[in-house]
Amino acid sequence: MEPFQVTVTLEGAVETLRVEPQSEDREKHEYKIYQDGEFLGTVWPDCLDHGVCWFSSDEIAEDTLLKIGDAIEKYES
Amino acid sequence: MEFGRAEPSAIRLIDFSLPANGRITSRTLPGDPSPSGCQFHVGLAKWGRKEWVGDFYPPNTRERDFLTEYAKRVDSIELNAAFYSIPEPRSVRRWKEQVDGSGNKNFLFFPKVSRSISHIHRLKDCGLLVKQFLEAMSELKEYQGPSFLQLSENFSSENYERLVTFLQAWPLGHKLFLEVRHASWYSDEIERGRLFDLLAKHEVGSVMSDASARRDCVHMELPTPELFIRFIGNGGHHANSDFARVDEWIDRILIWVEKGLEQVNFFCHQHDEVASHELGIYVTEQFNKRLDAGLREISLIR
Repeated sequence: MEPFQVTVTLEGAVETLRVEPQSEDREKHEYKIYQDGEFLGTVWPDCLDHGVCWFSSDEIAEDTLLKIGDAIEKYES
Repeated sequence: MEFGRAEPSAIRLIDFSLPANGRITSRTLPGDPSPSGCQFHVGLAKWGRKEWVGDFYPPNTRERDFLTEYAKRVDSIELNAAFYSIPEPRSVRRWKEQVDGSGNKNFLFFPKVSRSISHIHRLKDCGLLVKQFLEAMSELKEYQGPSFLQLSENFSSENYERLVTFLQAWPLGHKLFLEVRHASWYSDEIERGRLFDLLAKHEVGSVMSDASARRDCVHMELPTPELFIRFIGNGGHHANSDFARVDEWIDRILIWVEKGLEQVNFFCHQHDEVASHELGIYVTEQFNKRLDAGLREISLIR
């Protein structure tokens, strides 16, 4: 899958993030997120009781993670 | 670029009027109303929204209760969670239990086929994945609605034979709707014709995504007497334009119901999805008023 961009509002500012989908063979699909060329973290979705939830192994604030996840979902829907 | 999104300045210049009926629609609809009437399902795209606590979900609703609260208010949902990974059967059983707790016996999930099938394997050699997907979804029991398969924007009509093979292998008795997005399926009359003939042959319904910048996807071709719309509103200052588009859909549905349409599945999206329930309020209200759809009307907590 090709990299793509999503737009999110972080701390009041509109930011364009680069999203690089990772290994396609894994059931948990991961994405590397870059902001202005700087690596922000790796995120992945999973199905829990409350539907799609987004996780990260890196220190991404929860509300930022939710916004990134939402933007990826919207891009892919 | 998000699918079908138009720049705000361009929205007012877009011709949103619905095209004439597609070629296959007049073949599919028999000309008289269905003796069993038309069923209506209206839903949103996601229940797990913390932002809705307080105005859509009651104050202090816990995350684990979101789905129960959703099903108290809305009759259907696109199950987009299934797109990201095939859920564990125990997760699906919990979703079912949460809907049980709502008391909404008419609730339906419309699962989106896993992208492992649609985007990664691109329909090739997917027998085992399809089996896993359908087995997991069967845990929804009475709440399991039709599945929908959305192919990648780069899945062109050159892949027609691959689609044929996939649909031939899709298990009978599992209702499926298909959405294609590559322009080649719509721009070439021959490709368009053989796509919808194929769907009719396999009794696979078509999905129309009604988005601002992809008017070709509003193809008006019904290969089965069922309508599946993913309506993407622009919201905000364009809300009245969104409502006018919904009104025109209702005009068309009224005509199609008289000619034999049997089912309408209408899902409300917005580019700002957090506000999609506000679009849902208008849709359920108007469907009930003009189509006698019998839906529970979505409303906000005042």
